[in-house]
Amino acid sequence: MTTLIDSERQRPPEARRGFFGAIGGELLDLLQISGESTYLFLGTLRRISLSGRTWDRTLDQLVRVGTDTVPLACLVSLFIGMVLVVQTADQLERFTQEIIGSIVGLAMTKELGPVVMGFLLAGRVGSAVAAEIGSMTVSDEINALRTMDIDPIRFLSVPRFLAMTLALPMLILYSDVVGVIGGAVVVAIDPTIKISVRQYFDNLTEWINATDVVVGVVKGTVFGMIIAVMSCTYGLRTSGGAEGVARSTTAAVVWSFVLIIIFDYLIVRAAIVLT
Amino acid sequence: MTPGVRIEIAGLRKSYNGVEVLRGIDLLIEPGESLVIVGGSGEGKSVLLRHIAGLEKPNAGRVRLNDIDLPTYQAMEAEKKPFRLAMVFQGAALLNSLTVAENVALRLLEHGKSKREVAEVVATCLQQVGLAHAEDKLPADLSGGMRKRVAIARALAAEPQLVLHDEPTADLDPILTLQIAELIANIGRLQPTTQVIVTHNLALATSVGDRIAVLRRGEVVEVLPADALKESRHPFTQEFVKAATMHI
Repeated sequence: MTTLIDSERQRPPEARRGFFGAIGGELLDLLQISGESTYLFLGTLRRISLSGRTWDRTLDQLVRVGTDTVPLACLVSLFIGMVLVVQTADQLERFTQEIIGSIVGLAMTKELGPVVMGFLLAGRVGSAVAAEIGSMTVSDEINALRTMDIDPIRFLSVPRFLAMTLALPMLILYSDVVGVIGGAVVVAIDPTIKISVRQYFDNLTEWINATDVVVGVVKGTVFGMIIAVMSCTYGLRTSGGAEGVARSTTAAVVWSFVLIIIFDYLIVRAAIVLT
Repeated sequence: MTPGVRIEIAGLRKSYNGVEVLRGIDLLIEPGESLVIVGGSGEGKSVLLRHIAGLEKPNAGRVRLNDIDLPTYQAMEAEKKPFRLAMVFQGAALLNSLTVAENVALRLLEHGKSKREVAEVVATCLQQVGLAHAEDKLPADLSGGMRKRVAIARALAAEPQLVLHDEPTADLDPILTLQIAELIANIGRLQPTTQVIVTHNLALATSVGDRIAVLRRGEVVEVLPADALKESRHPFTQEFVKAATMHI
C-alpha cells in the first residue's frame, strides 16, 4: 500500500510508450486504485469506534453530508417526481392513467431515489472530500498527522465513512417521500391527468411494499460506503499540486458514479434472487 | 526524560522514477546534538529528512533511532514509544480547518490528554513563540512567519526528544529568519532535544547547528563543526559558502 504510506507517489516509469504500453499502464493504475480502495475500506472498518473525538467528528460530517444536503435533495426529488408523472401520464393517455401512482412510487423507491441521491452526494460531498483531503496531502498536512502519531485513516476516513453510510439512506427516504409528493402535486394541478390525488395514492400504496423501501435503503448504505471510500482514496493518493487535486476530485466523482451503477445492478439482482 | 535521540543512518539510498536522489548516506547524530544539513536545491536534503521522519521508504539502507529500527519505532503505539518525534514542515503544514490553538492542541487531545491539561500546554507553547494573542485565528489569517512559529509551537507541545526542521526560514525576511533561529536555538535549551535542520541559509546553519553536514548529489561530502564551515577545504563546500555569502 505504497501511496497511503509514502508521501510521494511512486509513479511508474515513463516507458509506457506505444499502444500496449498505454493499455498496460492504465491496467496497472486500475489495479493499484482497486488495491488502495480495498485497503482503505478494510482499514476504515477495522478502525471504527465511537470514542468521544471520533463521534464528534462524525457528527460534524453528518451535518455536512446530511443536513446541508437536504434542501438540494428535496428540490431535485420534487422535480423528479413531477417529471415522472408528466412523462408517464403522457405515455399512458391512450391506455389508463390509474397506474401512475405505482409507477412513480416504484421508480422512486427502487431506482431513482437511491441512484439520484447517490449521484447527488458523490457530486456535492464526494468531490469536496476528495478536494479537501487532496489539498491536505499536497500541502503535507497528512504527513504532519503521521509525524504526530495520528492515523489519517482514523482521523479523516472513519468520520466521513460513517457519516456518508448513515446519511445517504436517510436522504433516500426523504427523496422517496418528496418525489411521491411532487408527483401528487402534478396530479392535482395538471388538467391533462384524469385521475384524482386519492387514486394516485391508493394505487401507490397498493403496489409498494416494505421490501422495496428496504432495498432502497440497502442501496443507500452501499452507495454511501462507495462514495466515502473513493473520495478518501483519491484524496490520499493525490500528488502534483493544484492540478493533482483537480484530477483526484474528478476521478473520485467519476469512479463513484461508475461503481454506484455497477453495485446498483448487483443489489437488484441479489434482491430479486432473495425475494 | 530521554536526553535527545541518537540517529544512525547507514547506506541510505532512494530513487524516484529511476533517478537516484540519495546515494548511500551514512550519518551519526548524537543525542542532544543539532545537526544542520546544507546543500543546494535538489541535492536530497528534504528527502533525507523525510526518511528520518519515516515519511519515505528507502530503497536500501536503514535509519535507527536510539538503536530502534525506524519501522519498528513507527509500528509502536503512540503511548508506548520511548521518545517522541516532531517535524516542522517547510510550508508549516497546519490543518487549515483548525484554529491556531486547535492545531497546537491536536496531538495531545488525540492521545487522550484532558482539555484542561492541554489548554495549559497550548498557552505555554504559544507564549514561547510569541503568538499568545493569535490562538483563535485560522492559519489562513496568518503571515508566513507566524505560520512557521505556530508549527514550532505545535512541535514543542509534544515535548519531543527529536525535532526535524525542513527549510525553517524559506521565504522569510531577515528579521523573521533571526526570530526563527532564536526559537530553534531555544528548543535545545528548554528540553534535551536532538534537532536536524535542513536549510540552505548559511547564517541559520552556523547559528543553530553544532555540526553541519554538506550534501551534494545525494551524498554527504563532509560533516564538520559549525564554526569550521568557512574554513573547509572541500571544493564544493567552499563553492557553497562563497555563493551563500554573496547575498545576490
